[in-house]
Amino acid sequence: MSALISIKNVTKKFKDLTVLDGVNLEINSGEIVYVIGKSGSGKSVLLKNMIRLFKPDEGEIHIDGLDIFKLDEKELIEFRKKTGVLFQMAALFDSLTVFDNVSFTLRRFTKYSKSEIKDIVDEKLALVGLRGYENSWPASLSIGMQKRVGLARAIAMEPKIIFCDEPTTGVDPLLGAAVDDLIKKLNRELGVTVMVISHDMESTFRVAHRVAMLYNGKFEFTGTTEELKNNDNPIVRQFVTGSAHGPMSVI
Amino acid sequence: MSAYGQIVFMHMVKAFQRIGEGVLNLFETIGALSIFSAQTVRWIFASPFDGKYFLHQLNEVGVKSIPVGLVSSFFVGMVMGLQIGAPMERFMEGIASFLGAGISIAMVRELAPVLTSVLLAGRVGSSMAAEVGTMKVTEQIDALTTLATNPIHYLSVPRFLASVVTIPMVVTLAILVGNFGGAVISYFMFNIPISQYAESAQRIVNLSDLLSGISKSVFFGAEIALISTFTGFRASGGAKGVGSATISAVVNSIMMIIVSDYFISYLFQLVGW
Ligand SMILES: Nc1ncnc2c1ncn2[C@@H]1O[C@H](COP(=O)(O)OP(=O)(O)O)[C@@H](O)[C@H]1O
Ligand SMILES: [Mg+2]
Repeated sequence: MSALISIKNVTKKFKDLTVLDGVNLEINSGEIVYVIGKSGSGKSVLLKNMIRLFKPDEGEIHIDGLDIFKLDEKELIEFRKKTGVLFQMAALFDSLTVFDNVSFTLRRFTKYSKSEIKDIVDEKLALVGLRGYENSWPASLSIGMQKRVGLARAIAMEPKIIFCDEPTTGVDPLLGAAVDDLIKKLNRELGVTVMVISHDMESTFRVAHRVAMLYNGKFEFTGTTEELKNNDNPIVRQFVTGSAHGPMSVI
Repeated sequence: MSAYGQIVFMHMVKAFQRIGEGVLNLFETIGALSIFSAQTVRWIFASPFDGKYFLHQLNEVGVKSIPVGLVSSFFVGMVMGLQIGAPMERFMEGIASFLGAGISIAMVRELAPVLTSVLLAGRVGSSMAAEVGTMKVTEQIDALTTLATNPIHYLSVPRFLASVVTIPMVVTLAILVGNFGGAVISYFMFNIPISQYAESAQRIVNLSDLLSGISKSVFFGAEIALISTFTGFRASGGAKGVGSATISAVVNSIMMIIVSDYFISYLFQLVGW
């Protein structure tokens, strides 16, 4: 069986800075894959290539059998509909209420009636524990709440794949655990394939099926959480144990 | 070459390099703005059309600009009456009865369109650049893209349409109110009845003057919306970036209005407006 997502030899540079230097990764349908790595290692840049916000300088990304940089207009819309994205800072539309944020694509691209849309928004907000916040403005919510609204918005169209950029960063530990459970639930009950970017090791061990660690523009490690735990690569060990001392420079 | 000469030479080379880069940047920006404008026009006809968002923009750009536009044109009308009327009277008594002609022609052809547009470049342009710029630096524009929505379609089209529709309306009101200001001064300072002001205005202003003034403001409205939204799209670097984008949106819109006013007036004269 071929992978749902396959990243082949992706290189991304900004002027003289090579952020991704020949990255390879495959994600199978139904998997939860965590991409870990220290701040600035290029995790968000990798994600932005996978959702077509950046174009790699070299390499290819195939999702669901299609090269995502060679889509025609119709395929692109299909691609957008089957992928949901949670941004690092949530990126909610601050001129729209929570309801209008979550229902954004439903209102624009579906023929659902007002009451059907209301039901879907209700359901998604309940899922992220924010029922009753429909009429709130994003600016009045904490970042943790904004991220959960962002997740509700990302799953409104029931995508096949969701990408989450640091869903638990800036969220208190209890809420972080709740977000983790939510990701597991989406995966288990709806079969959603998930790629999560994180440097939260607790969350990684709790949720991930497989983990890939980005270091110096390449994946230093790819494997299961079990393999990650037992890996004796000093760079991997340093990151997993969260030590300031080791082969990887921290500052 | 002496050491001192070498230093001077190096500084000159650097200065020329900087000028060269500046010119290249300017051309790059003009090119990108042209593409952005063409795309905005192309996306006008795409679905879905978000009526609610468009109404919101009509209110922001049009309705909320009425007080600024009207208060200033009223005072401009009055100050013109004052500044032209008094010296004219000194030159020849009774000539102030032609004030209506002078004020109205200036109001209709130049003052109301240009002044109102410049004011609205400040009010509307800054808010467009700040709002869109904030969306850019907080990744809301990226979020739009991932929600299958073209940012130009969603953000630029409604602002563009709202500006080209409402700014000429505000200008039309400004023409009326500006002349009212002129008439008020004529009446109170020079004892000219309102009817005489109106008659003298009617005799000089014809349809082509109105067409010239109002259609000019359609272009100014387009310039404000396109430059400001475009500048917002290019903002980067957090709150500071949004701040400088806002400043350059306002300054460039105003400059564009004044420069294009000359060329538009010239073209209109060719067709007899
Ligand atoms: N649009 C951009 N232009 C230039 N450099 C960028 C851009 N986006 C990210 N970078 C750089 O790429 C590197 C990786 O960033 P990022 O992927 O955001 O790191 P993280 O792993 O913390 O998510 C950083 O050095 C960052 O400065
Ligand atoms: Mg990041």
